[in-house]
Amino acid sequence: MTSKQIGFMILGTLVGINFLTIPRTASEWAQQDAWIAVLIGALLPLVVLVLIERLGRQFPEMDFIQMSQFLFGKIAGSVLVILLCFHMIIGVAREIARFAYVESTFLLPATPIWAISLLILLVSLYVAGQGAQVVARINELLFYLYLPAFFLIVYPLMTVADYTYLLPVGGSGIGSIARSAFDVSLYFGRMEFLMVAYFMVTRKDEVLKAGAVALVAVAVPYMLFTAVCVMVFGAEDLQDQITPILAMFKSVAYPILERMDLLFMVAWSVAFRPAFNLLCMSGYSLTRLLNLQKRKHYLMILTVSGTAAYLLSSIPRNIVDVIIYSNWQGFTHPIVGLGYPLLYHLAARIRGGQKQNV
Amino acid sequence: MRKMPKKPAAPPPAPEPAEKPKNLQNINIPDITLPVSLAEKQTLLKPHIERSHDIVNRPFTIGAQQPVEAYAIYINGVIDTDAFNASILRPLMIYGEDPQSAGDQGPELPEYIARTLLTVGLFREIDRLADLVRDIYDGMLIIMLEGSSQVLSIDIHKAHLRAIEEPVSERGLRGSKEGFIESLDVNISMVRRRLRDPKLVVKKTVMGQRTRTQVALLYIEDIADPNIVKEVETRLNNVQIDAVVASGYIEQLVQDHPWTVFYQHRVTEKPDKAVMQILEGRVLILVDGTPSSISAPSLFVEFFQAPGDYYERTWIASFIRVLRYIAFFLAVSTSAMYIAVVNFQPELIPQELLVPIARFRNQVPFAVVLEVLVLEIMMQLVIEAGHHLPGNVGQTVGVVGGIIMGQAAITARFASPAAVIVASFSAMCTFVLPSPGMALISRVLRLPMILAAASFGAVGFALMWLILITHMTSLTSVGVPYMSPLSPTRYRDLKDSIIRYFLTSMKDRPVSIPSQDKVRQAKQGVTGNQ
Repeated sequence: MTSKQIGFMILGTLVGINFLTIPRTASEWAQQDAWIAVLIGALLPLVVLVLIERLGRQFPEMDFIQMSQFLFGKIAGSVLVILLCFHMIIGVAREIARFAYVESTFLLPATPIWAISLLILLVSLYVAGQGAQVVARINELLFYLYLPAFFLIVYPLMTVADYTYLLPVGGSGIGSIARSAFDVSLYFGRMEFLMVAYFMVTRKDEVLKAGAVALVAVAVPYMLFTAVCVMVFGAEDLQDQITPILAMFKSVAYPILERMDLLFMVAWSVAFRPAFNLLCMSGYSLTRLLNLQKRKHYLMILTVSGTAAYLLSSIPRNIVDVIIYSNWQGFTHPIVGLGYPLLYHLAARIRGGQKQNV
Repeated sequence: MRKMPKKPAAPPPAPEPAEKPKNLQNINIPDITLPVSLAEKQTLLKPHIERSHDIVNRPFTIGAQQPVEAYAIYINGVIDTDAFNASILRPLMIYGEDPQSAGDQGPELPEYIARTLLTVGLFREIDRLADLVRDIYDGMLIIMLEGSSQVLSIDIHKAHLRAIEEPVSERGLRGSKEGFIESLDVNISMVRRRLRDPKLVVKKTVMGQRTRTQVALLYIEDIADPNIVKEVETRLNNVQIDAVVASGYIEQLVQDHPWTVFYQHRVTEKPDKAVMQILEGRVLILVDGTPSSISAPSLFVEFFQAPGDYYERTWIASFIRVLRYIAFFLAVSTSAMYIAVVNFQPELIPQELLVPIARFRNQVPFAVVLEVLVLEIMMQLVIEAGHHLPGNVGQTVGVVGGIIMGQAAITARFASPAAVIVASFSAMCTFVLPSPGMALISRVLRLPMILAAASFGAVGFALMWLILITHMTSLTSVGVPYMSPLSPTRYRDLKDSIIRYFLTSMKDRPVSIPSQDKVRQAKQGVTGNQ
């Protein structure tokens, strides 16, 4: 995998279905300063990126499994790997469940949720089954395919947006902005997948730069979308919209294409990149951990992981459950994202100290 | 159609490698040295040719003072009989009176007469039975003499070849109108004429134990990547097959992924296109008997490129390129989108259009998916019928099928007008594609798209595209990513992908295709040797 591809993979993993709701979350406390909260919230994955990159530099010849077992011993290292894989599988389940409910709401109201979830899972399995390199390339390609869609946002800016809704800048107060920034930072979760993916990159010295560029590429459109939504609805009315991005498309009359919201949703219905990215990383790690042959057993491991994710995704009974579970699961991202690299850094320091003593 | 009177240049026999690969070994022919006696040679040869009544066995005598018995053996209709009479029989029978000739030469006689009497260009001496039998069936004229184990194998082929014409499937408004024909040597000469580079390597080999088809590998020595060349050669050598009737066999035997619907090698009938491919570092495979070339490696974007693109203005060429990509998308998607919109998301259709569509749909007794599928199958049948019928009749079938049957289907309430428009539009989009292969692929891919859209509406359609793109991204052609330069993105190569940028800016060869010499144009705008 090239450093550029890891950048696209970071981008693809961070941007999921939560993209549709981020303006509402960001404006809940920060009001008109929601766009500032988005930018501050993006600092969390940046910290995670730096921590993982610094960690990886210390073990350039190892992969995640080797590094874990080297630092914590075979048993404890394996347990940590399995826990991270389980965390990623829960992330896959969360993404499948949220996508399934959103697609059911907007595009397939008559199709049962289990069928939509299964469809998403099967496609994710197919994509992940092609291996990390193809997954990285798909992320890259989808980025370019989606790029024109982001420019659609410019249209409402020209027609119904009122920039005075953004004023006064900083008026909501530092505390409110900080509170929203924390909420938004949960949207930038899943960066911990880099613990596995980092070691697949050929030019490791370029990962930090590629990751930083990817984060900017996520944060800037998020900020833009949030600002436009605030300019269109105003911060207060924005709270009434479950999916403000779609609502914004609905509120503007586009020439020829009458229901831009639905078209956007159709295009976005393949954007469950976090699902296949995380599935690929967990499958790869488990295959390596169990010392199985990638060619022979990778697909089998993926199927088992996918089935587990599918079962987990079927736990929520309705969209409210999905939102509650996902919010709780969202809290695990900063914990794992910061906790894992810090723990490994600590272990590396202790091991390094031991080595020096020897 | 104009007939070519004669093969322009008789080629040397295919070069034999030092150690023959298994696939080049002769079937059931003992590889023994030929005897000196003419009668024994005939006895040895008889079992291998006696059941072939088209083989002519012509006895004659060389010289009169010291006559030497000889036999000419050849396949009737394959050799040039005028050349045989004038350049071989006449000098040997009439002028072979030289006192130094005939019996004095002993075993060296074949070489002597070939050097002094025969007025033909290409010959070789052989002394093995297996070579003798093989050369007879390769269409050589064989001269066997009494008193020498050496036999002369002379190449005076004459074939009735199709004239060089513009390829029907790759027509262009500008540029060369020449197309490859069925003769390997003529095809090589067409490439040579356009590429007078001494570094152009032409390697010939023979494939197919029974058909013994000549296959040529063409590449530029200091441009093509040696690993790619080696890989292609290895794959060709590993092919163990009794018959190679056409290049399609080779294409399928050397490809990376046999199970995919996508062609991994660009096939072209145009020599100018073939030359462009060689110049970009690709290896070209030409097969005797097939009027097209195969290039390796090939990329997805290549199937949307036509030689004419490089002869047109940049803006026009780029516009046409973009149109082709849109046409491919629409050819694959229009029917599926129609089903998804009508069945699942009718709100996407403007109100003014939705009402008439619904009214006509109401009169059709079938489900949308069935209606579209039936029309698709009808349309595919019409296209296939048009392909296999002679020119004018094919056009008539197209008109009858496309217009009259479509109108009749609407009148009979067998299909709605919108569905007929969708099916016709999809079919028309396939004809925009410059590669017949990609046109076929778009026709095949339509079916899974329709089924996905019929099951899950626009979501199924979008997911099927994701699967398709993933599949394409996972493909390789001789190890090179098939979707390059789109994925992995090679920014420099995007100049010649979805658009065709200014030729003056395309100073380097594509990085997507591994090559030794990356520079195509001098940086100061000066090209080639001054």
